Amino acid sequence: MKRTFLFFLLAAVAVALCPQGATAQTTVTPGWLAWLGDGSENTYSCTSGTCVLGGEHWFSSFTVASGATVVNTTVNSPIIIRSTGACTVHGTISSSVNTARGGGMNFNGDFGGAGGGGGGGAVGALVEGANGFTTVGIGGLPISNGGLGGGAGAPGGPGNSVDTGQYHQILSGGTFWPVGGSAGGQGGCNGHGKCGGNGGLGGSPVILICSSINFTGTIDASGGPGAPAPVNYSGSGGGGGGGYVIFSALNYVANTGAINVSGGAAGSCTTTGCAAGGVGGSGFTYTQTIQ
Amino acid sequence: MKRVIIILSLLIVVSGLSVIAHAQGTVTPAWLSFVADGAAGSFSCTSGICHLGDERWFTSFNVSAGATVVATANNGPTIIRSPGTCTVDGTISQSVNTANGGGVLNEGDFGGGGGGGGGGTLAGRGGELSVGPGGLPVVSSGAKGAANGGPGGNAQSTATGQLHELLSGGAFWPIGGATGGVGGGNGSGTAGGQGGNGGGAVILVCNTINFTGTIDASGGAGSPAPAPNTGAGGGGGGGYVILSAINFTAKTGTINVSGGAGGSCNSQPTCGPGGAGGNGWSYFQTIQ
Repeated sequence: MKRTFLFFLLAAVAVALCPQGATAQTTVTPGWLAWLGDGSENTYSCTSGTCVLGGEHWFSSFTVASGATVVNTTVNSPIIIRSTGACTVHGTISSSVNTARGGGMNFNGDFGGAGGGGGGGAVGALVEGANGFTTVGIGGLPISNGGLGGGAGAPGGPGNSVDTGQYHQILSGGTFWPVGGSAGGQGGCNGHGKCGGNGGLGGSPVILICSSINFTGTIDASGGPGAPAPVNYSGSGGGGGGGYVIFSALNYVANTGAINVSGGAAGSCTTTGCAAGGVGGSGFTYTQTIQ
Repeated sequence: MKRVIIILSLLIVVSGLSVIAHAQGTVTPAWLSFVADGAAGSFSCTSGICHLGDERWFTSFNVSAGATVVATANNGPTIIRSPGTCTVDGTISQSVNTANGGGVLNEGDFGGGGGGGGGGTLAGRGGELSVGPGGLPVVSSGAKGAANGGPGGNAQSTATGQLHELLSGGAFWPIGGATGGVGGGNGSGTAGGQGGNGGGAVILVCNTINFTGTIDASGGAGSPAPAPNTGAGGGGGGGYVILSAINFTAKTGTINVSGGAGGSCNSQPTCGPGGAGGNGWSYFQTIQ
């Protein structure tokens, strides 16, 4: 009988001490990636066709069925799903202009890729392409640099991709309005009032924080392509920077889906005297098991 | 001895399970659960008007019935954190509508947008936006009234998908609703009515909250058209109120986060009325 009590006591102590030890070692997930919300918006299910959803939502479960697409059509806004239950994505989530006409970013992003610079316009005139938009933090301080606009007749530069040392800051520190990649720069003008192609839109963030995640579908947070040069001796637009995708869950039933956070391509140059824009930088993806 | 061991064991298991529950991600976001250290001692406003704004760390916080705590500075929130009890039987104001509060005089963050200014001979100005980091729009404002008396547009109210981002992510300087747009001038140097101030932010994070009083974070009304051929001002957006506590002994008080009304034309010729400010929101959180 004494052995039974002793065994029970030791087991109880082990149960108690293990998670506390982990907590003391500060290995717990940052709060913003562990908060599942309160489920106050109940269940959400997109079973077919296209469903429009943007901003942050607190569901008790979230489902995107195979063949269905959830798209965020609002410009400069993320999709954030917090769920006390399962998040199942067999279909598609789009925060990109490249899929189902998502809104994307038309300005500075934050922790995504930077926009490519616009190609330069006519030689001999002050018609440089616009710089790609830089990704910025609080106060507008730069994080990842946009590509330089091309000088007259010269191509635009590529936007920088976000690197590990940069995006780790959002993962650990969080943010209250994630925005994604930056827009590309517009191509330069032809010297006679006709300007180049617009920059592509950046990809917006997709963040899922759920009790469990079952992901076999597709998430598109890629940057949009720059627009082609519309007239001779104008530049094409730079590509938009890629956004980012973050998963955080206690359990993963599956995590085999496809994620696209690439930067957008430069606009095409099929006209005479065209200088091409730069490509957008890539964003990032991250998978967190809540501890 | 056996009983002691059993009780001890059960206590340890319960302790362990509570930590496991913490790990299940249902804990309240840190910025809504930090009750601070009470370094500023106790605060009590027992009668009349007491001026208080920004973030304060009190051991306890009390606003008696009949008393009013008001933030008179513009663009600063009222944030109270306390490891003790926060009792609000009186009034807290973050609004120009109560006790000459300051409110918001520019862009807000997660409150309602500002209503558009009505047109006079000249066009009015659109209301201010509520914006996030980098100045990106969160909540849209009301459009400007067109020249020759066009009405200002009504602003948007904060949507659930927007306010949830603040609740889970936090903010390092909460602001509130946005200011309304000024009405259009008469083209001869006389401006239209001023836009109303936005309502500010009131946030209480306390061990215990006893709320039976009033919190006003409403947007101010737009000013009327001051002269012929001028437009009226747009209303300010409503701010927001967050009450977060481990225990609520009462939460039956009244909260006002409505947007301000657009200014009127007062029968002035060639005048567009101001648009209404969007509504803000309120939220109660039990700390877990």
